[in-house]
Amino acid sequence: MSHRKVVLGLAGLLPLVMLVSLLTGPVSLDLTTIFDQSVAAQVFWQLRVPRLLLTLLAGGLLAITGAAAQSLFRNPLADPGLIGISAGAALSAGVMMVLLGSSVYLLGGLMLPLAAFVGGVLTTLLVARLSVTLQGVSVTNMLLCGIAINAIALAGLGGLKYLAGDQQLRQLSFWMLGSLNHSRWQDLLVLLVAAVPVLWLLPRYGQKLNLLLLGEQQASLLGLDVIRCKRAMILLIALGVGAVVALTGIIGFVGLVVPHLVRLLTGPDNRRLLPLSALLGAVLLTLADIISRLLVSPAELPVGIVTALVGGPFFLLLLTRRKRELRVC
Amino acid sequence: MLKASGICLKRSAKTLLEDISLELRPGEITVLLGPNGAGKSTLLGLLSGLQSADSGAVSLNEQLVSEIDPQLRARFMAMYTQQQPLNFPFRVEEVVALGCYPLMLPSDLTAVRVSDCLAQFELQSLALRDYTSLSGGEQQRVQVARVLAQVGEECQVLLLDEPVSEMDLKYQQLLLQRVRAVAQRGVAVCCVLHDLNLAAQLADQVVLLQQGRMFGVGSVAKVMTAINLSQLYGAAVTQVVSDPQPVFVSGLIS
Repeated sequence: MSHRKVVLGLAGLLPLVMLVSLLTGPVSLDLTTIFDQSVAAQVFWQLRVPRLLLTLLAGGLLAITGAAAQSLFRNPLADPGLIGISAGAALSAGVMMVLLGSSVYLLGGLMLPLAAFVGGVLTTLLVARLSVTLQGVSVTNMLLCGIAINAIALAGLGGLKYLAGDQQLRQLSFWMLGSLNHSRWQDLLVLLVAAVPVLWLLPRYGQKLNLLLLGEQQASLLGLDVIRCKRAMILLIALGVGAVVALTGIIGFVGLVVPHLVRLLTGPDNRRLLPLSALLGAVLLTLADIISRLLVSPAELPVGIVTALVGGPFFLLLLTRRKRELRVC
Repeated sequence: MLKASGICLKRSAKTLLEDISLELRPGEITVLLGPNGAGKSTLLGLLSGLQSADSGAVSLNEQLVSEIDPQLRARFMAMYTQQQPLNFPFRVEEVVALGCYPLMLPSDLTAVRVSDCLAQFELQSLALRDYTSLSGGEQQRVQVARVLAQVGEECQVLLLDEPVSEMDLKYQQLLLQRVRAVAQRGVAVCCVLHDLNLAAQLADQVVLLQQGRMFGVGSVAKVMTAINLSQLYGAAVTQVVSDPQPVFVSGLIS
């Protein structure tokens, strides 16, 4: 499909899902009453709108960082969730929350995202260290590393529950599933601090990431400062993933499924892949959020359950297709 | 001119290269010959600036290669490496276009250059194919075409590490022609080959490498003798023709 058609299609889809999302929920709304002083207007401005905006940003960030991670690791299976970046970020934020207690909300709520960012950077460095060599990337090491980090983080977060207070306990469990339930305007501001640099800078690395896909030696021979490029990627990926994890918990598989779909539509060129992934990620997470609110209405499922139920089988499908490749590595 | 003087490289007590001195002169084709593990790829890596030596220096026109800005270096030098780990479904023309990256051409000129390079390697019919679906020999042709797309006006050195290892006869000959044409424009070429007859056809200068040391250097006539080559590879080599250029067969012929 041509690039133009895909862009137009997504641009048409986006306002549609946004509208549906705003109108979905236990309180039925119609758009004529949203400027009143009614309860419905309250629900609309204090719950639905920030939730929608948070969902759009989280979906966009998860998908674009997923696409960037796949180019960094030169493998389409390198999802920040699967290789442990999200879990590392969540554990780091969890430790910070339990350690600091109530003072965690100092600094305008930036403490948790900051901790998640640091955790994200450290885990990305660790995975890169263990799986990337000058000659190539060991997919086995990359995925095994993810298994180990995910297990450690799960155990760590589980252990933290015994140290945590009531409020923290709820937040810890919501992290482990991933939820958009607690969206507030101030969360949105925090997310924006990370989203602006990530969404602005990452697409500018499109051609450089294309070079990196040729191999590190080849990219270097074509004039790319490989070390600097990789460093910038690690920081931007960790920043994006860290901020989303701090606010919504671990929403898996968006970073895996979305770039894959975009590649099917317009090919692997990162100059198109990165911005389109952000767009499609925003659309699909909004859709997943709508589904999570409809399935058990008036209650709601954590959106991480929906993305995992869709993304998990998708990942297995990819694995069967890539059996040959995995055996080689 | 690319000049290596007295380069040595050790990795964990193993000597990979010892006291190699070598000149790649403009317009001249140097062929590197040697058994597996002799250090041929390592030497090319050092010449390209990808790796640096423990001692000794590699300089391009009196400037140390390792000190040239990478972006500039990519305009002065192009290199085909053996490993090509690309495993994303790029189209063939997109892969070749990446070779133009250091030249910073406007997109219409890039398109012209890409179609020219595709034509040179008879890849036009594969231009829109998914690179990962190609055979090994086809992939090699695409990657060589990509490297030659990088050889622009400013290019002074072309390094090729076994560029024909998977190509059939026809494309081996085609590549030889292309490499000669590049050399005629004044580019210094250094090429690792395993086919002795191809080497004898192509080389202006031959370098024999054995266990990281220079075993011989000079013209085809001087260096490529059956005795030298038998010793170099530790395998019997017989010369069957000597004029206008030597022809070798592997093994003893009684």
